[in-house]
Amino acid sequence: MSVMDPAPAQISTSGRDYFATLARWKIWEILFWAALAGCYFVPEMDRMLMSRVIIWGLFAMSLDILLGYRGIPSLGHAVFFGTGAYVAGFCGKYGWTEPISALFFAMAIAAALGWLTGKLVQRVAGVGLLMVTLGLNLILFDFVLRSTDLTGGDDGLQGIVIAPVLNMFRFDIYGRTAFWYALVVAFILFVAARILVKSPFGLALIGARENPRRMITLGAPVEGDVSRAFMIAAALAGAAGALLTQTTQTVAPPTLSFQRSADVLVILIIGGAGRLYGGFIGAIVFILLQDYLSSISPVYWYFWIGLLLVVIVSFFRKGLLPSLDALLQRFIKRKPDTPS
Amino acid sequence: MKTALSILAAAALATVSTQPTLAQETVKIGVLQSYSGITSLGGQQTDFAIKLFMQKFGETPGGFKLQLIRRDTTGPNPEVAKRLVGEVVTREKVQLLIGPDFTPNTLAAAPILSEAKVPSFVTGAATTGIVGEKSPYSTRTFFATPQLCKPLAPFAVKQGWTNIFVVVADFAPGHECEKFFMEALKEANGTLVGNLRTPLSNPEYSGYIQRIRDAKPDGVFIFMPIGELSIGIVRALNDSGLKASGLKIMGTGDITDEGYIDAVGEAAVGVITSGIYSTQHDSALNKEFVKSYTALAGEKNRIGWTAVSAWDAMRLTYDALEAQKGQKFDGEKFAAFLRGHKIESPRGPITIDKSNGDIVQNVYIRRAERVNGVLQNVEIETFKDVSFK
Repeated sequence: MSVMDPAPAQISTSGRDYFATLARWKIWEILFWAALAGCYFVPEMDRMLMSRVIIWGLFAMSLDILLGYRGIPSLGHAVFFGTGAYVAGFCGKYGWTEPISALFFAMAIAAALGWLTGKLVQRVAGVGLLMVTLGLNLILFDFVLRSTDLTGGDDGLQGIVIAPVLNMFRFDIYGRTAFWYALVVAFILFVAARILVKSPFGLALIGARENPRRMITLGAPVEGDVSRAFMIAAALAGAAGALLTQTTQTVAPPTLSFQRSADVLVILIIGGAGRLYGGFIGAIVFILLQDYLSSISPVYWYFWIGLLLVVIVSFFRKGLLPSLDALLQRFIKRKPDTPS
Repeated sequence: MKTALSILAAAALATVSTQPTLAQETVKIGVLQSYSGITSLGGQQTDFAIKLFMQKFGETPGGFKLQLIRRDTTGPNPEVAKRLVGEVVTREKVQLLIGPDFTPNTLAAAPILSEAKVPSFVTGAATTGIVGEKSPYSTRTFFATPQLCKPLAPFAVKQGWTNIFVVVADFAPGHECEKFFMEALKEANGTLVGNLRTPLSNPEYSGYIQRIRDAKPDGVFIFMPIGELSIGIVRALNDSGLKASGLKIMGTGDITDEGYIDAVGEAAVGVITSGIYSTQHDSALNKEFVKSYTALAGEKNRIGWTAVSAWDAMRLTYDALEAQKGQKFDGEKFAAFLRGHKIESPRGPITIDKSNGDIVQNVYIRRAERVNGVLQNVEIETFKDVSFK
């Protein structure tokens, strides 16, 4: 199928060997994370911007679990991102200033909401699913916007205090702490997600994506997996939201607006769904483009973004990563499993 | 002359620091406004005002070369605003900031500006208490909510309109304005005969109009966010015949903003508003300002309060930079210089408060009328030096 998944001929008869082959780290994966970390040392690098790229990458990766691996399109993914963001915000506001434990707490709440959502939508498919997730998004957004006493409404949550990470690294305006904090958290969660999708559970998700009826005849719990996939995706999205709140000490309704759900979908599509890295690649392209265009053309930047998105999507049908991958495959003349 | 000065300056500086100095220091000014979406009018007006000011007064106040860094805040969006402020402060290294606009954005920006000691001008946020303690380097050139919401109460009572009905939009600024107006009404011995909070997303006013009619007030006080809702309620009051039956329609300048008063149309005629600036203000400076602004921006782009606020921010910037002539730019001195500073603005005299950088200014009671066929807010009474509290 691609460089990342071994060709069928290669699959060994023993299941354990198969998953071991799947889970082996490729050289380019290590290079990718090393390059991301290396950004810190580039002079004149805007670390705040890079931390945002990482957070969006993590957010898009969480959607990838749903869309790329289970094939569930969600138009309300910002619900979980926003929940994580607001929970982290409330923690900071009401005295729970320690960031790491608050991050876990935010993840847990988002996961619970994700599980409930999964239960709600597991029998719905296709356009219906889009509508339910969109509806949930709009309800939560309006709730947050209207409960001015609780959330501050439009003004956002005021008075968020975040203690230094490990009591040593204060969140400064230059984004030094923000960068490392976001990178380390994103990397750990990435590794966890990677283990998950390369496990039998991940295989079952892909199976249900490709042919749910067949999976049922095999005796796989297809419906139950929907709520589990939602729960995992929500926890990851919640972590991304909490990271954003903690690194910026701000949270406001746009964090769970429909616009955000759409943006994350766009990021994932640009990067390419179904391979975990797509979200990160998409975030790098989208966020950096947005930053660059809005600074050279503050008035018309939306136009240029729209135009570039159309161009990218029409030239790289399946997203940047899969398209480049296919190109590479052709280049090395179908020699399987020797990607670089 | 210039070289002589710079040599002198360089010599003076060389004695205190070993750093080589440029003949002309560049001061970077971040301009953070809404340039896209439904709130883009603010960014547009700010740009026109700044451009006009620099055309008139040159681009090198006090020998500093100005460089503008513009960014789009996209509306009230604190997350974006905070990111942009962080970016222009740390990456672009701006030394001054005009904006960001809107209260949530201003609040989000405050911690960064305090940490980096970057002076800023609040040109588009009106909530009380957002300058001062929270951001010691901020100066407001817009207005504070009480300045608009209080004066109409004593004015109405003086005209003999003692029974007042209050209608505000159901959002934080609406609640704040309602509170200030009711306080002032009580102080002026007026009577509150009823009040309503209308949702932000409901342009259907007929039910509310009936409740106003039933309360039989002499006048109604309105506070609505700028835009569609303001147009809607004034027209609804007019169409219901309440205005024709003698009900006085009052409100903050938002309901007859020059930006859309033509859309309100005949319904606007006779509406009484409180405002900080009208293009009709009678002063030589304003006449000149209106003339040159219109020449630059065209008849179609009428002058709003944001334009005047940006103009005044530039005036204050130029004054403060002139005061630092020949020295290295110092943000703290810049902010300190503005405290207590008084200037003549197109809107009339304004003073920056000594203790917290908020604005003290005249507030005008205006009546909407046709002047040479064009709807205008004509000033009929002045409240002098109204406090921001």
